[in-house]
Amino acid sequence: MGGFLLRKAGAALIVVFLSSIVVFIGIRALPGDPAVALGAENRDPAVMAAIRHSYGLDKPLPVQYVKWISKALRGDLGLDSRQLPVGHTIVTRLPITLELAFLAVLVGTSIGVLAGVIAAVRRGKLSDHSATATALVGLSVPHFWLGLMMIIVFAVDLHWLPASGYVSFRAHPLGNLEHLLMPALVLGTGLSAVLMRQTRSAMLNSLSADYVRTARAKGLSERMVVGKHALRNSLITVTTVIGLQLGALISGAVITEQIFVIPGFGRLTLDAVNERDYTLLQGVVLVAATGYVVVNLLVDVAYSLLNPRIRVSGASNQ
Amino acid sequence: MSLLDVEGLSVRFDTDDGPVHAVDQLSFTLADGEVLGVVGESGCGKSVSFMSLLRLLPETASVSGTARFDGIDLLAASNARLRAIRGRRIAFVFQEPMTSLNPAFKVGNQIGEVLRRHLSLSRADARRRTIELLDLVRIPSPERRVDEYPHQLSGGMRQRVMIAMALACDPKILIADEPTTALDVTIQAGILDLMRDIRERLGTAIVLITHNLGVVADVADRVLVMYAGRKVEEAPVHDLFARPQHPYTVGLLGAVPRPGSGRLQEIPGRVPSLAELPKACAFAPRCPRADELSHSQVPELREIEPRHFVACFHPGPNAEVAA
Amino acid sequence: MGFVDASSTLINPRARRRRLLRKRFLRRPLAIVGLVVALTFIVCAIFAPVIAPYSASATDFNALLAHSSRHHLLGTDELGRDVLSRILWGARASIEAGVFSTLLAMAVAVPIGIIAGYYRGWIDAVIARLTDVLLAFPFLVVAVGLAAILGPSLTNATIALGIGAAPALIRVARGEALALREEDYVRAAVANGASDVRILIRHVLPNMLSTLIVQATVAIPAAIIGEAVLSFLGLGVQPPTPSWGVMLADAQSYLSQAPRLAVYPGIAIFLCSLSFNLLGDGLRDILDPRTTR
Repeated sequence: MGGFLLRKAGAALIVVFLSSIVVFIGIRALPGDPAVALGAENRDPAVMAAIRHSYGLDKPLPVQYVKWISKALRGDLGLDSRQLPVGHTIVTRLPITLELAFLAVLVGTSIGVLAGVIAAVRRGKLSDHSATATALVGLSVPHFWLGLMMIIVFAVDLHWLPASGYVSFRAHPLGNLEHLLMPALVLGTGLSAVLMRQTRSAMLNSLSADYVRTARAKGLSERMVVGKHALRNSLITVTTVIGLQLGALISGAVITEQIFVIPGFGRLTLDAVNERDYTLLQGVVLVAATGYVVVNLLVDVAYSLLNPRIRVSGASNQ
Repeated sequence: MSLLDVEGLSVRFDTDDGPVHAVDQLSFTLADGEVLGVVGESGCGKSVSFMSLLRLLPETASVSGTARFDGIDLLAASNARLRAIRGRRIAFVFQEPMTSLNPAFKVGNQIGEVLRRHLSLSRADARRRTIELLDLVRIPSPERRVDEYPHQLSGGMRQRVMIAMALACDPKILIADEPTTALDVTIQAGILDLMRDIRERLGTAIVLITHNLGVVADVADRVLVMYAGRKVEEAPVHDLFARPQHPYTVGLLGAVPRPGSGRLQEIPGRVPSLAELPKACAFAPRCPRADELSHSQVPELREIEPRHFVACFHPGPNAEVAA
Repeated sequence: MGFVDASSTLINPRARRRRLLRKRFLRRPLAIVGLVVALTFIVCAIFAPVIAPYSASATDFNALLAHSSRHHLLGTDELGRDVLSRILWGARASIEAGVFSTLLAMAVAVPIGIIAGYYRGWIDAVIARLTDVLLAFPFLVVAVGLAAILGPSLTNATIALGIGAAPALIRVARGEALALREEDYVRAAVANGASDVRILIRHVLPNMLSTLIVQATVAIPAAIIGEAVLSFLGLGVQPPTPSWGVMLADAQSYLSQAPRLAVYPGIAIFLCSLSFNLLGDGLRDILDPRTTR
């Protein structure tokens, strides 16, 4: 397992490095002179030159990159247009999104995996058809629209849940869950639809595998055959799917937070674009890309723990 | 009275492209402690027949007939009843040791769960017995192997694990489906040797399914030859090898490599698709003896000498097929 | 020797396969429904100027936020624009983004994936890392970046969606090429001294086509939803050009007064992407090599 994870970690480092270059160059490619943006109203050439110098903008790009990345590694992502430290802003906004994402993944995987297993076991029966149809609907429905519909029904008409906003869990645990229930459902819908389909097909695969026939031939109960022998191998496939859905989850978080007015990382991203705050945008994108790679690495760890062929090295006596 | 008595077994698969008849009206018996060889080319229905007995086929299969084992009809038994028989009284060893073991669990766990399911052994007792079983199938250092995963074992080892798993509850019948096909020749001999040993030491009745007559020659007591879902010949092993009657059996014998017989012979043509059961001898299109009768009627099974049955209009041991 | 080879009784295998596929397709009513609905949306997109009862921007100040009536089948929005007409016109942006982003992704991903899978070695490793980098930027982040650099527009949204769809397609094409290079006919072509380009175009590409078609059919609905998301956020189609996402964004301010404004465009997006998904599922089922033979 060590070798596998070491390789994965090495690849992740390379990806983070390349991503940081993409972010750095991307921001430099923005139209307009950053010094103009930073100088706000003041267009005096002397002030401009001073700003360029103080931000190191007069140095060659590689030097600027090294300076930027070494600061970023220490958590210093610069100051935004309101002169607030970007790193600090991100650290305050990120937990909100992480909570939302956690709840969404919880909802998405539990519904998706369960429905997928049931559909595969009852293949061709009514429950399979309805689960498959529901998943197809879940895949085709724009989830942000689902959010709008939920707001109309549960907030505007029924007044059961708040339409928007956020309170922290520590300040008001119940209120926190009330505010996050609809967003988590909206964000989890797409994931559960994808996972349902993947789990179903992985389960159908394992259920027709030779080792499941062996398990049946041993006289094991159907619960053991499905719940132990088939499911364990299907989960290995499903884990990798969760990793691949991460990008969709990040995109989904942005629009979900927009609809439900949640002051998380996603809204911060949109604010950065709308306010043309490039330092903030740079920090946000860098953190998003790094986060993506880190979570994927965690998925690889989970994968290797589930898969003994990776955890334990191969035959010693061929 | 025989241990297993199968009457009129038929298996049909319903596929997207119409029904496929895999087995047609198969009848046979198996005596206590007997080794029965079941021979035929792949696709002739031999594996399907035996899997159907324990209801191990996919749901698209419809099975009819009766199979009496120990006073009950396996084909009519409830699922719960059948589960108590599977692995406990009738055990299976499958063809592919590479894929028949679950890659996600240790071999000890996979053998142990049979013991715990059927004999209600404790975890510790199951482990102790598992090590004994690994030793019985001649796996070296079983104390270490018990904690290994299938991918850490060689193909021959895995097949031994499968056999240990099948023997765990001391079954009355062991059905071995091409147990040596996926293994290389030197390992094959070891596995066959083990089979013989098991029968002698434990008195287990063994069904040995194979496409290779050479394999059954020194292990089986009696041989059943199948073609296109039907039994075409059945005889004690010596009679069959000395006086094969069905041209298909004659052809198969030509395919057994024997010292001095020169090149390995092959039967021309291939097993027909079983979409429709022919109203004729299924082997006729490939048969040099076939005549109008063969192409228009299904030959009945008849006893040509004591305990030697053949379904052919023109039986006889001459070897034109292999010419 | 008097024997008949069973295989010689079969007719031309290619014609047989085509007939089998058609039979299988016709046996899947949902796939047919998907095809019909998807074609309907495409026709609406192309002929919107002819079909739509009003122009997309014609305002009717006598009917602001009107309920559905004979004049306005689905009612009007806050500026008195006919909702049905705007939905018909809006199909253009969705279909455009769906189809062109998928074509773009294919054009980029397929050659890269084939090269990675066919040549393997260091070039495969490099492409794998670059694909990972691409994956680290979800389409919304790419769209945000493009909107910031080039300004928001349908074209830039389409490019962002295409880039977002590319990594998955690269992996699919790579996997197929990896499997196909071991096939006998590819090996035979290599042994016969065919050039790499010829092998890739004549032997590898055609044989992964059915998989690619299925992938494209599922990429289109994702892009259609993606376009709606981007336009909703103001990163795609810009008002007053009609788009389903823009309509939903406008409707957000009237959720309590006129919830129907948020309902209809969403249903349009849903039906459009559902139709492509149904078609894709059907195609996957019938083209799946494991069931086709």
